Formats: sequence, structure tokens, C-alpha cells
Amino acid sequence: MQIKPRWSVPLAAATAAALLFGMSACSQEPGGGSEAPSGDAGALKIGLTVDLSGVGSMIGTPGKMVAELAVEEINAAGGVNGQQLELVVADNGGLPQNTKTAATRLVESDQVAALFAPVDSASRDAAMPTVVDADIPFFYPTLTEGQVCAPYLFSTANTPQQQLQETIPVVQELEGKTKWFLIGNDYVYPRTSLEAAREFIEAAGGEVVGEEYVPLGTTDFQAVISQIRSSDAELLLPVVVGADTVAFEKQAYDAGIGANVLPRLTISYDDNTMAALGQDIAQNMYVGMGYDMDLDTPENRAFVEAYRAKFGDSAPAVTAYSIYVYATIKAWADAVTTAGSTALADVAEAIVGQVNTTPAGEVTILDNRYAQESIHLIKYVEGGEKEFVQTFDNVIPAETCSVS
Amino acid sequence: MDVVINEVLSILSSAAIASVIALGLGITFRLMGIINLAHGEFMMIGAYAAVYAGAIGLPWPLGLLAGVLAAAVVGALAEVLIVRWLYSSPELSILGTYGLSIVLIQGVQVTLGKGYLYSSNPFPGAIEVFGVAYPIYRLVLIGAAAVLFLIILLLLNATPLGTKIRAVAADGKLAETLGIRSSRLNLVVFTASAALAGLAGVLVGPLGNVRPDMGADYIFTAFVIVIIAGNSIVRLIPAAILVSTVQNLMTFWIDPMVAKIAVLVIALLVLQGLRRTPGEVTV
Amino acid sequence: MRRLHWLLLLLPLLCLFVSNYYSGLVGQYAILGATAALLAFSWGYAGVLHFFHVVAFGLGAYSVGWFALNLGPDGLWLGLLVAVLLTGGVAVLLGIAGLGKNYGFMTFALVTFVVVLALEQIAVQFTAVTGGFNGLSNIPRLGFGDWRLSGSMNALVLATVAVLLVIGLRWLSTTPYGVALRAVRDAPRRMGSFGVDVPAMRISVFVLTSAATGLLGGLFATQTQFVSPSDIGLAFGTSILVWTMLGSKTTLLGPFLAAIGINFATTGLSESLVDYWLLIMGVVFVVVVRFLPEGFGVWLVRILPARWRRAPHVEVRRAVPEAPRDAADGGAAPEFVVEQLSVAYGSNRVLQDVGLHVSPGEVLCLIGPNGAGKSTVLNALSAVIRVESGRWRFGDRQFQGRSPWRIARDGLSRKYQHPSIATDLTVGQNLALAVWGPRYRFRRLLWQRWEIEIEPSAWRILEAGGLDARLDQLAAELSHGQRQMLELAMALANPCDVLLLDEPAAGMTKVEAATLASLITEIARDARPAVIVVEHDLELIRTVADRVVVLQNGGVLAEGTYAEVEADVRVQEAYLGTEAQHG
Repeated sequence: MQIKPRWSVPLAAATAAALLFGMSACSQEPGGGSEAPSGDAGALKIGLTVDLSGVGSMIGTPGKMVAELAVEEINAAGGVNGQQLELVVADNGGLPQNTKTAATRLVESDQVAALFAPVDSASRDAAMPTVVDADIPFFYPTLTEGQVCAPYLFSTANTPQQQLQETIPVVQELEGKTKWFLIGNDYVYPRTSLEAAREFIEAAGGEVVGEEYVPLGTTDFQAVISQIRSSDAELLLPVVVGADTVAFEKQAYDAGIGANVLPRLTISYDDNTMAALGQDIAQNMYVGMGYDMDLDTPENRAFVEAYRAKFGDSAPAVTAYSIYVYATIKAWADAVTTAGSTALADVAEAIVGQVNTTPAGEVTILDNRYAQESIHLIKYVEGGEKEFVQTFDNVIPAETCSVS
Repeated sequence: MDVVINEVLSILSSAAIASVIALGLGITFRLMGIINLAHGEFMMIGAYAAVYAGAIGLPWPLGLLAGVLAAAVVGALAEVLIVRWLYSSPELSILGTYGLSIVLIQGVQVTLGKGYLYSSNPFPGAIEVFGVAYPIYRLVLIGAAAVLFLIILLLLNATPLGTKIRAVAADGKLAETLGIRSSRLNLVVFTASAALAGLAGVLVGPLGNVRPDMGADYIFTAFVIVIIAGNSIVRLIPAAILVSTVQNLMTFWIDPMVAKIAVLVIALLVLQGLRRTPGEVTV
Repeated sequence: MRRLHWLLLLLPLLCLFVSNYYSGLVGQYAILGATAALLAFSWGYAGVLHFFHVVAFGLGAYSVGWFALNLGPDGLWLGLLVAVLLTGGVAVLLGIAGLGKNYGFMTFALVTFVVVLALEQIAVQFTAVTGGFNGLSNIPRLGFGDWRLSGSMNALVLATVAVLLVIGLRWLSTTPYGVALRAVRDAPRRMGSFGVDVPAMRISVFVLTSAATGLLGGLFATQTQFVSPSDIGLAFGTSILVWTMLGSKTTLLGPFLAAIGINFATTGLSESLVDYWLLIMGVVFVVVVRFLPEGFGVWLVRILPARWRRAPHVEVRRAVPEAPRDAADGGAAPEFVVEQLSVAYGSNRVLQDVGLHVSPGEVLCLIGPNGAGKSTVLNALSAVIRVESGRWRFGDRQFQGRSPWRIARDGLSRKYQHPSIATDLTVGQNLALAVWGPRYRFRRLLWQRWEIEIEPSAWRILEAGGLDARLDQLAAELSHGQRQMLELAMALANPCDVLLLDEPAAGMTKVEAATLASLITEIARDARPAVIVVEHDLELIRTVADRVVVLQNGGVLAEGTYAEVEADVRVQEAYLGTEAQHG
């Protein structure tokens, strides 16, 4: 075939012209050119970047829904400092690079006053430089291993330390067993979680008899199951995430080490996971998490009612992965009202120490930008029923780092 | 002793699953020169069909049949619409089947949703094998894989159809001059490969979850097995056993990540060590 | 028109006029576009398909990230240097292992595929260096000390580098080096017989594109300020591959623009269409494969005026004839000697202890029934097949055990039975490659002008075939007989000591064959190579042969002049039944 690249010329010119035209048009989009988003006329924009199309859409979709609900409720109550809120959503497709692009668009074209990102930690890190440049608060309202602290980064959901600290001793006591096997996917969240777990287990007089990490996307867990069986473990603490959870639990159940034999304490299995496992496999699992839709508190009943009213009964379950988006947007709105400003320094000053009553219980953001909140120990029992074993209020996140 | 028996059974059942997936993949790759990136999606179609069949109350064998048929139908359609234009170029097959896999994943997502479907275990429980309690379903898998390979090998080696297929694989044009309609045989082979994928999808369903993008997790191990097996369909079995052994034992004794990398190193060594003549197929 | 491709530089200038966000995208996507163009150069131009591009990209991004975060912001410059050296170095190793004598198109693709799978794992696992799953964040932009480029300016630099790289690649593709790559892609064995160091050509292009991809990856990290395992993974690698195919791998601007276009479209449309966007993309890929398998770029090239894609003119001159060599040499005249040549395919012995000798200026014809091993002799002598044993030399120049291109460089020239000239090159370009093959290494080809000097004998063949007036014509447009003539001219373009001709008259008309016969005689007389001809055409043999060797069942049956051999009873017996076909 013929390669005589001189045709490149007109094509290049045409493309350049098209791009130039297209982009100058784009940059004149409403909001793109406006300066500080103040005044009565313009709405105050906040940005949300979530995964709507990739594997994380099971978290992203309810995350987006509760964000819409929060904004609607805030606006119905008169907005923030007399200004209506506008939520701008950007899909990140589950990729860190796309998250960076999405964050940049929200910050630069939409000039959002704050960015909310219930995404994985790699995507959070990808968005960070953009947020630093923009000098706005960055809210990370989903389960996180912690360990990253910055003045602008507010991690408002549970950390594994919070989820495990109080629940491990209770489970040991309820089951009368102390020998644990730890298993997780091989990346930072499970590793950090299980490192913390080991500490709490030993502090509670327990013993870790095995620890294993499997790559993300593992489909065959036989070798690990053999390992668990050949250890003399009595309790299992799995931090296996996503699709791997179902594969691991089903195979373990078939191999005779389901939760009926080897009780689990988990911090990552939410309602969706349990539904995917089925009631037999889920039975006898303990979950330590900051939220469950069936929590029987007035705040939660009101929230669930509003959520169902807005999105219908078939809307996806809200879990600890997504509820803090709702809670955090509301907390931010309160802080802005208190401070009378959306500037990072003012918001930070107002929001730290502010006590927020949320569907998940009381949430207070501390100095290191992590939140003190409630953890609920839930046990799945026969017939897919949940038993709320105990609620621990005001659990303090571990000081894994601090804001200097 | 118990540990040994348990490990052997684990390795065999891992190898059974992996080899069934690799079988379909290897047939299209080695016999037709198609790198089928949509193989995992054919698995997914099979798994979905079986779950939906179960949901309307059909017994498991019928669900299995539904999965195989659904994947075969989709595979045949894909062959007629796209794949038959790709035989000339393995490179083009990358783009074509990549597009196909996206279409299938997104098509299912849009029509049936993204959530996990539950595929229940048709043979729950365990039985004693040499004094070790072992899940029945895993044993069924080992048996199913063995029977399947037997059937495929008999088909390829002891039937006129098999001879024709091998002739087309060796030289499609030459086979045409001998009166074999290679285009129709290619359709048969590709459909069979898709049906095998569907079968594999139904079989792995109860071991994991059923979701639109489930295929990706299985496909790379299968590719590595196909690479290690070289030009041979029979060698898929030892290749699958080798990979499963390395993966299981190294996971057990050392670390899963080391196991995974060790398998890739084996694949590299095989690729570097065994030079093969393209188009030459030994069965 | 020639210089107008510099208009591409308008692309980076966009960064001055659009918002920070869009200029950032221009920078990033231009880098991705150039990455696709580099892959196209390796895959489409040189015929080396691999997945290493994404490893190179990721290694580049990680090394910039690591050095900038560990040695302070200015470490990124060292990181960029390391990016180039590291990716280039790894590519050298991989290239030597996989692109050498045993190169297999699919095998190499699969090897690099497995390398990607492994490195993706390592990137996740090797947390201390790579930051594991979370990757490395807060990578600084380009700059020195506290002075850093703004996002837009950084993007401008990136887009400029990307565009210059594409322009550079385009230039490279028009140099003799680039043209030789295409010939190597289409006819590697042929080019080897022309003395081209085929592995070195492949390795050079692989290393070159890999190192450049490493640089691009490093630059990319300064724009996104972030690198994670997904930048080194198979999914990303497949995307680059797909952009390259969509844009046509045999063009450079096609992949460049395809990558930019698809990424802009994805960024702009994926939010409004969410899942449907991917569905649409999938359908587009399928439709392209079905109806536009070569991609958009080729399609565009086709609809553009033909005069825009004229190949460069090659200046072909006739060399001044040297004094006949070895004519008055006092010592023993060197001879081409073959001793005890044996070849086996598996257990099937094809040649057994064949011995031949040919003097300069002598024409030896090899004949024999089908399957006697005639072509095998030529294949063995030019080292395209492996011999079991045997020695062959010209004078004291030994050939056995050497690779085809070295043998060619040492003066053994060969014409294949079927013309395997590069049909998408002009007659002149084909000749040029034949002339340069044995003389120049690939570096020299970069700077070589399109001017050649060919031997008088080659010139005579061109004239006889009417090719001297068709130097700018594509070889694809020649008749079969003309292609045979061109092939012969290429074999003779450089001075040679030994000339092997495999059925030179195959497919020629009677008239053409007669012309050819007298040319062979003339060439042997004037240029004085030792000539071995394998031929079925007895008329031609009768005309040209000084001596005839009859092969049967892999051994020499008889030897002598044409008349002697013709009269030999054993030969008549051997030919009974088979002779009829050749009348």
C-alpha cells in the first residue's frame, strides 16, 4: 500500500481549524467563562466525579443519586447563603486518568466551589494535583484506608481502623473464638485494613494464624481455601472486594468453610454484595460499617423515605460506600453557611469540629480531616435477615497521619 | 496425605475450568488464526442464559443447554456478520473481536443491567474422596472437562468432519480445491468455539458471579495456556495442568502474585524456546 | 505543498487560545496520538506488531514520576533521560531476543503481550517504587526549581513535541531507511538476500519507537501529574492498538488524528451517553473492520489526488565499467567451490554430499527431474535454509554458517524463482535498495540521497526490459516478464562474484526468454561472476550453459557439456517420463 504522506497537509490544517473552532466554542459554554461564581443570579456549583459506566458504577450510581437528593433538599431549604446549589456530575469511567480529566473540567470549566469524589484511591490521587491548584476543598466520601492527609482533603467515610477497632473484640466474645485468618486482595486498601486488624486482634487477646493476599480479578480461590483449611483458623476476616468477593465466598462455602463454619467479620461487604452472595452464604457474617439502609433511626427513616420517593423502589441500595456523599454535601453546605464563604480556609475552619446529624449517625470531622462517626455491627442471620448487634458511636479514626 | 489429595483435586479442578475455556479459545486461534478477544463475552452470554433459564424454573441440564445454545447463536451471528472477514489477518481480528466484546458487554449492560446475577450451585455439598471431603461440583467439573476433551479430540481425529477441519486449518485454499467448503467449516468451527465458551460460562457461573464484564477475568489465564500449549489441542490439557499446578502450589507455599508472575515467565520461556511453523497443526 | 505539514504545529498553538482544561486535553491527546503514530511506524511500516508500546509508555511515566518525587522536582529531567534509556535498553534486549533470526510475527506479539501482563502485576506489587495500586501522584510539571510551567504552557510543550515527533517520523518514512523498512516488512527473505541486515532493521525500529514512546510517557506524566498501573496495562495498550488500526497503521497522521479524535469524542460524549457511548464505539470498531479494514487514513489517501502521493524520483546512473577482474591475475584464479553439501528436512534427506565448482565467467546449469534438489541447492547456498553439512567458498572467502545478508555482502547474489520485489515501491527504489543493501547499515540509510550507481550489466538488463524509462513507475504496474527483469537487475546491481539464478525464465514469453539467454551469456562474459542457473527451459540451457550438472535424488548424477549430458544414458533414464512435460 501507498504511503505518501503529503496528503497530511490539508487534513492537518482542517483538523487544526476544526479543533480550534470546536474548542473556542466549548470554552464559551455557560459557566466556563464566568469569573467568581458569586452574586444572586448564578447558582453555586459543586462538582461530583463518580464512576457511572465502569465497574465502580454500583457505587457511583447511588452516589450520584444521593448527591442529587442532598442538593435538592438544600435548595428546598433556601440554598446556601441565599444562593441555589447546582450539582455538576462528571463520569470518570473508573479510570484514574479520566478522573483527573473530569476533576479538571469541573474545577476549570465549571469553577465548582468544592469537589466530591466517591472513587477509588488511585482516582483520588489522580485528581489531587488539580484540586491543589484550584485551592478548593476536596471531599472523599467513601470507604478509605486513610493514610493520606492534606489540608484540603476531607475523608468523611469509614476507615478500616474505625470499622475494626470496636467490632473485633465483640465478635471474638460473641463467637467465643480467637484464632483469625486474614485474607485480602493485593492492594493498599486490604493490606492497610489487615495490618490494622492484626493490631486490634492482638490487643483483644486474639491470634492471627494466617494471612494471604490475592491479585484483583482472581477467579479461582482454591489454593487460598486450602491454606485456610490447613490452618486452625476459627474466624475469618476477608477484605476481598468487588467481583472477587462473590467468587471467594461461593467457593469457600462449597469447600466447607462458609460463614456457617468459619464466622466472618467483614468491613467491605455491603448490601449489594450480600444480595449477590445469597442468604445461605451470607448467613453468619458480621459486618462492621458506618451505614445500612435498614438502620432504625429517625434521620435514616426520613432519608430512605425521601430517596425512595425520588428514585423509586428499584433504585440501587445506598450503602456505606455512598451515604457519606449525601452526608458530606450537607455538612459542607452547613459549613459554608456558617463561614459565609466557600474559600478553602474558611470552609475548613467551619467544618472541622462541626457536628453533623446524618442518616449514618453523628459525623464530626476532626483536625486531620477524617471523621469521627458511628459504626454498626450487623449480623446476617437466617433467611437473609439482618440483626443489628451493636452500635458504637463516635468512633475515632486512627491518627495515621496529620495535617501540618 | 489429606493435604496431597486435596491439592491434587484442587489442581485438577482448576485445570478443568481453565482448559475448557482455553479449548474454545485455542480452537479459533490455532485452527483459524483468530485472536478472539470476545471469547470471554461468549462465556458471559452462556452464563446469563443459564441464570435466566434457572429463573424461569428450568432444571440445570436445560440451563446448561440454554447457555450453550445462546452462545452458539451469538457466535454464529458474529461469524457471519464480522469474523469471516477477519480470517485473512490475525491483527484485524484483534480490532474486530475487541469491538464485538464491547458491543456484547455494553449490550447486556444496557438491556439487562450491570448488577451481579446469582448462579446457584447445582450440586451443593461435598463427598468423600480418598478420605477427603471435596465439593461435588468441582468433581463434576473435572469429569465434564475430561469428557469434553475426549469428544473434541475424537471429533477432530476420528471423523471426516475433523479431517476437513484440519485440512482447512492447514491450508484453506488448498482444501477448497479438494472440494471442501472452508467458509462453511469456519462457521461450524467458530460456532463450536462460541458454544464451548458458553458451556464454560455456565460451568464457572456457580463458582463466581455472573455480570456483563465477567469474561475478562478468565480470558488471560486461558490465553497463557493457549500460548504454552503451542499448536496442539491435546497439549492444552498438560498446559492447563501445568499452569494450575504452578499457580496453586506457589500460591499455597509462597504468594499468589509470585505464582501469577511465575506462570507468565513459563509462557515467555515456552515462546522463546519452542519455535513453531505457523499454520502447522498437530492434534 | 511539500512543507505544508508544518501546519500541524497549529495544534499546539491552540493551547494559547483555549481554556486550561482544553489545552490540557490537547497536550495529553497529542501525546497519545504520537504514541499511536509510533506504533504505526513499527507495526504498519516495519511489520513489527507488539504490545511493548504500552510498557514503554508506562515505564517512561513511572521513571519521570519516581525521579521527580524522590530527587526533587528537577529530578524529572533525569527521569525523562532514564525514560528514554530504560525503555530503549529494555527494547534492545527484547529485540535481540525476539526480532533476530527466529523472528515470528505472532510469536513476538505474544511475547510482548505476556510482558505487559507481567509488568502490570509488578506495577501493582512493587509498591515501594511504583506506589502500588494508588500510583504516584503530584508529579511536577516541566520547569526548573520553583519555576514551573502552567498547565496550558506544559500542554503546549507536550503537543509541540508530539507534533514534531510525528513530522520527524513522516520524514523518516520517506528516507531510504523508511522505504527499506517497508521492503523488509513485505519481503524479509528477499531483502536478506540483498544483503540487508533484516534483524538489525527490525531491532532498530523497535528500539527507536520504544525509546520515543518512553519519552512520550514521561512527558504525559508531567501533564496528568500522575501515573498508576492502568497506564502500563493491557487495556490501555489495546486502546492504543485500536486507535492505530482505526487511523490506518500504514499511515502516520491517521493514527495520530484517530487517537486525538476518539479521545476528544469520548471526553465530550461519554457523560451524556454513558453506557451507550461505549456501545457506539464497539459498533464503530466492528463496522470499520467490516467495511474499512485498512482504517480511515488509507481511505483518505485514496480519495486524495494521486499527484499528492508521488514517490521521490531516484537518480539511477550506470557505473563506469571496471577492467575485467582477475583477468590477468598471475595466481590461481579463484573459483566458486561447493563441497559435500547435505540438507535434510526432518528425516527426509534432500541433498547428499553435493559438490560443485564454477569458475568466474562460467555458467553452470543445474538440471534434474522434479524433486531432485535443484532449488534446495540454491536455498542452501544463499543460507535461507539450514544445511546439515557442507562447505562453500569463493576463493578463500568461506560462506557456510553465515547469515543470508552476510553472504550477500560477500558477493554472492541471488535471484528467486518468483519475483518478490516490493510492489509498492518504484522501480528506482527497488534498485536503490538492492544497491544499498550490501553496502550500508541502517544509520547510513537515514542520510542517503536517492541517487545510485548500478553495474553496467544491470543497466543492460533494464534497457532490455524497457525499464530504464520506467524508473518512477511502481513495481506493481509491471508485467511479469518485466518483474523478472527487474529482479535480475537488482541481483546484479552491485558487483558480485557468484550469481545464483533460480528459474530466471519462468513465466517469460519465448522472445523474452531468448533475450534473457543472451543477456546471461553477455553478463558472464563481461562481469565475470560464477553463475549457477536452475532452469527447466532446455532451449535456454543449451544457449547459456558452459557446463551442466544433473541432479537426481539429492546427488550429482552426471556432469559435462550440454551435448555430453544429453548423450548420457543414465540421464535419459532419469528423465524418462518427466522429460515429456518440458519438451
